[in-house]
Amino acid sequence: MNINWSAVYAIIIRHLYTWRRDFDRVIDAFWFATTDLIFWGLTSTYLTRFSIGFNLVVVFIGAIIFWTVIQNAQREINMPLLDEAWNRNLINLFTAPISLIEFVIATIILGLLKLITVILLLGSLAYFLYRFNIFDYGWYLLPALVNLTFIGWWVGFFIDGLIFRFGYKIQSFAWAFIFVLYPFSAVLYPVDILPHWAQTIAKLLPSSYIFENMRSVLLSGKFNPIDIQIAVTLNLIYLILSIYFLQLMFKNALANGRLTKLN
Amino acid sequence: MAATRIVEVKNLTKIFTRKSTAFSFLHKKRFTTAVNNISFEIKKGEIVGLLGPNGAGKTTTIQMLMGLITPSTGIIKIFGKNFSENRKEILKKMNFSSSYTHLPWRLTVWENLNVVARLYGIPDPSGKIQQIMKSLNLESKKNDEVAELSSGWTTRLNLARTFINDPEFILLDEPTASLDPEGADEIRKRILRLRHEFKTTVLWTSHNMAEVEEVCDRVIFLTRGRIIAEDTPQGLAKRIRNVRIYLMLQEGRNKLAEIAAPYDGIVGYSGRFVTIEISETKIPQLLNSFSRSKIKYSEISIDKPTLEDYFLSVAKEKQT
Repeated sequence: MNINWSAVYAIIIRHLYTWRRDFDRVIDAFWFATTDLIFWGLTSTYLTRFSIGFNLVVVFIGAIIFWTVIQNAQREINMPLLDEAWNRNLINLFTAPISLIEFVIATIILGLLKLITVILLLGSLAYFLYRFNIFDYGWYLLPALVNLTFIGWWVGFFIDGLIFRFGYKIQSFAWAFIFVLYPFSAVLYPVDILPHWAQTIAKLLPSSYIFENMRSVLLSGKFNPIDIQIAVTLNLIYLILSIYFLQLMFKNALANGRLTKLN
Repeated sequence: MAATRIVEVKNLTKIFTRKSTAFSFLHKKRFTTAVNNISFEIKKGEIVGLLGPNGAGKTTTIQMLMGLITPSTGIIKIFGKNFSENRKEILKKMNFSSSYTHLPWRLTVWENLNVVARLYGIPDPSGKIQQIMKSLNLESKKNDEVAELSSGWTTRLNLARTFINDPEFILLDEPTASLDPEGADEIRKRILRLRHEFKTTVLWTSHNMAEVEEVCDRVIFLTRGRIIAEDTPQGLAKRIRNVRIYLMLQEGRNKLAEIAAPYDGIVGYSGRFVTIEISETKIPQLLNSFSRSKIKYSEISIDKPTLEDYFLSVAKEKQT
C-alpha cells in the first residue's frame, strides 16, 4: 500500500489548527474524565472507611483512567470525520488525492497525541489527589494501554462506518455508543457478578480481560498472560472486521451518493 | 494534429437505489436514473459548460468525474487514464470549486491553504501559497479566519484552493452563485485570467446563462440524465428560431394583432409597448406590412435568441 504521508500530515495539521482555537475540541477529552476521577476518587475514599478488605481508591481510580483510554481513543477516531462533515469540507477532502486509509491513519495519530496528553494529565492528577501512581501497574501498563487503545479504535471505525451509512442521524453514537460496552467490560466490578448471559458477552469483549487483570495487578501484583493473549486476539479480529466494515460502508456511500449528502 | 483529450466519458450511467426507511429490506427498492448513458469529451484548454434544468444530472456527472460517486456503468478517462484505477494520480492534477462546499471555518486563510497544499503534496507549500495569495489579492486576509470572511473573499479563497496545485483540469460548480453581479464579474475575470495563466481545462456548471455564454467555448446540455445538445453557446441559441421585437407604438394598435397573425407572431402588450415573437426570416415582411398599414412606432429593438432562451425552451418542454 502506497501511503501519501504528506496528505496524512495535512489532516493532522488541519485538526491541530482547530484544537488551537476550538476550546470544546480540547476540553471534551479532559472534562468528563477529570470530573469522574474526582467524583469516584472521593466516593471510594469515603467507602474505604468501612474497611472492605482492599484499597477501593486504587481500584476505582485505575478503572477510571483505563476507561478514559477506551473512550478517548474511540471518540478521537470519530471526531475528525464529524468535524469535516460539520464544516461541509468532506467533498473538498475526498476530491483531493487522499485515500480513506490515509485519513484513518491521520485520525489515529491525532487520537494518540490527545490520548497521551490525557493519560499524563489524569495520571498526575490521580497522584496529587489520591497518591495513586499509574506506574504501580508495572509492565502490565503497556499491554493494557495498547489493548484499551485498540478497543477504542475498532469501536471508532465501526461508528465511522455507521456514519457513512446513516449520516448525521447516528452522530450521537460518537459519544454514547461506547457505554453499551461499559456494563459488560467489568470496569468497576468483576465479571462473575454479572448474570450468566452477560458473562458470555463479557467474555467476547477484550475490555473485560483487561479490567479483570487490572484489579489483579493492583491488588496482588499479578496478571494472567493467557487473558492478555485472548484480549489481543479478540482485538485483532475486531480491528480487522471494523476496518473491513468501514471500507465497505465508504464504498457503499460512494455508490449511493451518501458521501456528498453528508457534506 | 488533434488536440489532446483531457476528459473522455463513455456510456456513463448512474442509477441510484432509493430506500426510504431503516427497515428498507421490507420495502420494494426504487431506482432513479440520474445519468443515462452519456458520452462526451473535453479537449485541452477548452472551457465546457455543463447545463441543464434542476435534476438534469449535472451534479451527479460532476461528482462522478471527481470520484465522489461511483458510476453504475461506463468509463471515465481523465488525462488518458481510467479514473477508477488511477484515482489518486488523476486527482493530484485536477481540482474542484463549488459555492456549496465550505472550508474549515475556524482555520485562517493561510492555514487552509497550507492544509490543501500539503494534501496535494506541493513541493514548496509556503512559496506556492504566497504566489496564489498575491495572484488573488488575498494577502491582507492571510490571518483572518474563514468565519470572518465575506462571501466575496470566501470565493476568492475557494479559487486559491482550486488553483493551488496548478491543476490541468478543474470542475467549477456554480462558482459565482453566492455573489452579487459585480463580485461575480470580478471572479469570472479572475478565473479566466488564472485559467490563461495555468492553461487549465475547465468544466463549468452555472445557472447564469449570460455567464456561460461569456466564458464557455462549448456547452453540453443535459435533461433527464441525457445529453440533448452539444454545441457552442451561440450554436445552441440559434436553435431557437424566433426573435423578439419590441415596439413603442404611437398608432395602429388594433391593426397590429391582425397583421402579425399570418406570420405566427405572438403578441404581448404592456401599455404602449408591444412584444412580438416571430421567425427571424419574416422580420422584413412584417415591418413592410406595418408601414403599409400605417402602424406608427417611435422605438424598435430586436433581440436575438440567447442561450437563456434555449434553456427556457428546454425547461418548458421538460414541464410538458
